[in-house]
Amino acid sequence: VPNVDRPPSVYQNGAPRALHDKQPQRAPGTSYDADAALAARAAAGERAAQREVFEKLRVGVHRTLFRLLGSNEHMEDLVQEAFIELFRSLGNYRGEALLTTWADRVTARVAYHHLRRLPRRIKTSNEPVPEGLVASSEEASQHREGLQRLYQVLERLGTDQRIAFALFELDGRSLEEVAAITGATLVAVKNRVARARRKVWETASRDSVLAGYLGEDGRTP
Amino acid sequence: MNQKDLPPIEPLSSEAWARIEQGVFVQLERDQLATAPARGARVILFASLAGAFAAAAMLALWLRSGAETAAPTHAVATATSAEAAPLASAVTASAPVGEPAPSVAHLDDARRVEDGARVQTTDFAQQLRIGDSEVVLAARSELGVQGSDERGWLLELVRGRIDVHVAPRLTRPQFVTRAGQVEVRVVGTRFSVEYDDARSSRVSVEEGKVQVSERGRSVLLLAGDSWSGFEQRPAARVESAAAKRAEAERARVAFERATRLESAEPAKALRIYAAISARPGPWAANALYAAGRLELERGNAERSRTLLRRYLKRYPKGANVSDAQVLLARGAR
Repeated sequence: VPNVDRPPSVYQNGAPRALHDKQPQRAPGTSYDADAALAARAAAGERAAQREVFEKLRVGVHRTLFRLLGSNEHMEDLVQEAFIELFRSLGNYRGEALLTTWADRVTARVAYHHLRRLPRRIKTSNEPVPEGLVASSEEASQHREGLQRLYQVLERLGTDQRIAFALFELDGRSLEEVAAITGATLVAVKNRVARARRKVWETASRDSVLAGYLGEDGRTP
Repeated sequence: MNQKDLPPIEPLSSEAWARIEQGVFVQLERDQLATAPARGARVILFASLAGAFAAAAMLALWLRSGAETAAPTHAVATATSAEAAPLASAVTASAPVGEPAPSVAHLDDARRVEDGARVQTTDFAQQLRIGDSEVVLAARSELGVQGSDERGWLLELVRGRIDVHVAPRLTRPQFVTRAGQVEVRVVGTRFSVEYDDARSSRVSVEEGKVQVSERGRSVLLLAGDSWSGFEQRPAARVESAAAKRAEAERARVAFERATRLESAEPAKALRIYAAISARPGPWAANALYAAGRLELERGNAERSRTLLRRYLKRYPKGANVSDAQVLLARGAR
């Protein structure tokens, strides 16, 4: 697994999260019995349990989709699609992970298919950013613009890379969680995040707004 | 990526969540019926038996009542019409013991409801046709229907919500919806009435105009207006939907202004956040969370903790709950 070299000025307030960070893990062999029992009741068609599952997961499903997509565009349809998928496959859940993690997996799959369906935008990343777009007197609006630019860069990434990057960098998940959610190996996730980072930095080197967003002093890498 | 760079998760409106929930559970019900044809057949059989039973009961009632005069338009219903009975029965009679009643009514198109019917819904909305008007009875609602096109209609909402699209009345008899003490008279319009267990009513007008009366007072509502009143309250209040939208827009603009001011004038930004979070509206939660985050960034850990805890208490299912918990943990270090 390659270590990622990072230009020092790219991330605010110090380094980005290291790709070798480990999160505390559940002891093997334990199971989430309460979640499994709830899921079993819901899968058996018990309406009250289904509503409980919906209530328990709805904020997380929305949050994950929002972080992956960057806006609420198409959100109603996607949340609905995610829940329908989730309930249809609830019978397969055996309590091997938290129900929320399992729901994230389904949600990420829905987002993946949605992103694959979206038409790709015209690539403009190699072109210098027009000065008129960059100029802004206020730091905060530059921040927002920078975030928009970041999502524009993500749109040009492969779907796998985009999802891994968004979950790790934008949603603060651990690599292990990202691997569990995306169904990929830890090595693959590290590679995807690393490649996505490189592309983000490359674009930031030509885009002062994005660089300003990523780096505290706005210096390009 | 630093936590503070991330914008708050933009919340979905409660209407959007209601639509999502409705869509999910309607689809779930369809899935379950599709994968359990035997159970579906049992439901239909039970519904048919219940319908036949109700029809027989009605026939006996009719024979016994003989030449009794027709009930007045707004009399309390004492019987269920033969045509409406299968609808009401199908919802309640087919439930296996110990399980919530499965609703099959939503699978059909609008069902015609006649004088004297009482309709209950369980988990799904039901589309009804009352005379030449259309009514959607929301999930977990109950409605009594009396009258006819000739005599006029009285809909009595016992609980829940109905959305009504009334054909123009012109010179025809009135179409009245009653929810507790509140009466809504329409000329030809599209509106909804809600009535909950706390005995509060709410009327929203989509098209046309309606007259709402409560305890001798009345108010005329136009398209876009909504009205809510409690039975115990001396005066009802009129709320303009347009005014609420304008308020939400003002809050959004103020919120964005505050985010721009965070770096240069954080104290001012905090004042704006406080003002937004003090008022009800879709931006209050975001403003409260943002204030807590900004206080932490300024090094005011104590104040940040207060605000974030308030956020968690006030919006336990808010979009930024996990973010707030992360910040609280960070502030405690």
